[in-house]
Amino acid sequence: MQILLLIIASTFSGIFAGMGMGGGTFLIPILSLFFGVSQLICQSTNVVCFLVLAIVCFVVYAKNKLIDYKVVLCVVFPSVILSTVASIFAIKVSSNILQICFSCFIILIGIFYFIKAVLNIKKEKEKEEFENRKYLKVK
Amino acid sequence: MENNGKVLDIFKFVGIGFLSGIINGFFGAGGGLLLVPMITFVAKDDSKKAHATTLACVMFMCLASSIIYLVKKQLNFKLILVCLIGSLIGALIGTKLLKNLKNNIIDLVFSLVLVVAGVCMIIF
Repeated sequence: MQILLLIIASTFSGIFAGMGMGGGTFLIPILSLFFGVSQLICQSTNVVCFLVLAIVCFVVYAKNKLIDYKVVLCVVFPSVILSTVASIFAIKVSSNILQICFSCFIILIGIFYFIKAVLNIKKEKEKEEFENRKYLKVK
Repeated sequence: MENNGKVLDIFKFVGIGFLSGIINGFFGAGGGLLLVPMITFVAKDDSKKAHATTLACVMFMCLASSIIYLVKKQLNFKLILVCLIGSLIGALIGTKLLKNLKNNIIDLVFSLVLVVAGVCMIIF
């Protein structure tokens, strides 16, 4: 039963990952809140799951020539070095502290995306009104 | 002048790499969420290209972190296998849903779920 629930829960995080919205930021809270998995195991599970998904997507994107390799080359070296160091550090930090830091991080990201969405909706409305006025003038 | 701009861009990308590496390594997630807007802004790539480039970068970060977790014996293979099945099914649904939903609606739902999840994780 728990396996079935886990598959359903990870399906939800996969939906967001498929929409390009960072599935990991969902999988970690789901595993932690509903299944009582420790923060570090949540993180390692997410990293490996994403790695498999990313390899599949990478092949598709590479075939469609959508990857900017110059950017990848510049970003990959510092990010891999820092990612390795940060992972080693994360293992040494207590799971509770890690969980609080992660919670604060996703709240901040949430606020950022909320502001972005509200501003975009406002912009679209203004554009629509402008187009309507233009249309009425022509008429 | 043009060369100066290119060198500056390289420095920006290296800086972006440092920041996303720290976040992705420490939290095991979130590197991509930072990279997409930053790459879009600096490289002025379109959204699809920025997403694809980000995915390639995060793939390498995840590979590095996975090796560390494997060496330090912090992997639960059963859990990974089950989550992987769900994630793959979800990703297929997600890519299809993306075509039918407005970006702003996705952003709104995403932001609200994140804030609620974050608050719940602190409280419980």
